Amino acid sequence: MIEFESRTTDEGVAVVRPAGRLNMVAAPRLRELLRDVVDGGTTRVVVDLSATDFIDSSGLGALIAGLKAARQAGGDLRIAQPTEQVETVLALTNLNRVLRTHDSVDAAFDGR
Amino acid sequence: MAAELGSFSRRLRTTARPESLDEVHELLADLWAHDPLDVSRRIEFESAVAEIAANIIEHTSGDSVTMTLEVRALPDRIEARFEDDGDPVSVDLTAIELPDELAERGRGLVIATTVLDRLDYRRDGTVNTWILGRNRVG
Repeated sequence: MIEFESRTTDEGVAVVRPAGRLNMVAAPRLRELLRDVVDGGTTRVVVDLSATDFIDSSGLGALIAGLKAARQAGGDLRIAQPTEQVETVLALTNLNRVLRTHDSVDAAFDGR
Repeated sequence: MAAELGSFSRRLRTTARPESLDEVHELLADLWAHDPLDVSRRIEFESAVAEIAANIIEHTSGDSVTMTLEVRALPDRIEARFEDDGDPVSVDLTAIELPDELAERGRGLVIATTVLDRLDYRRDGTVNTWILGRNRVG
């Protein structure tokens, strides 16, 4: 089971927080949610991974889809506070070079 | 209290569908409750097992496929064995490479082959068998 919380900060950054396992059950929902956020005009997105217990390659695919959508709209997608398993999988797939990790949601868009 | 190494095994038999992944994680949670494997190896092994399970489920193409998973704690390694009666899989496990960095697919077997000490696939009659192994040391 997974739940998604989403909110928008005062700075206009969308924060999406998947809680649970981000696998082939959940990935299509995250993909759709990120697409809706960007289509709705919020192009700076942070995915807060602090409650994402587990991610698989389909979850990674949803993050990449969100990253591409945000960048195409002139924004960016960043990730914050990954759990140990998420960090491991990002490193194994070299995606830690594409999806840079931030220590907190607030820090993800600091400086711009 | 951890059981003596090599004494633990559990088996799961289920229909291969996305919701079955929860059962796979539950089986592994049961294994970790009985085995002292270090956390980083647990994470790697569970990530690989989940990718192979997802691969099996993804390739059922809507048919009703029965999947079994047996996990074993052996003195020198942890092993998982999947069997399913789905279609044969065409894969060369010696030629798995990372896809383009912005690709949205194609990383599952990369994760599995990178972290495992053993990953074998074979087709016997109507059954696909995947064997995954992770050594305790080295």
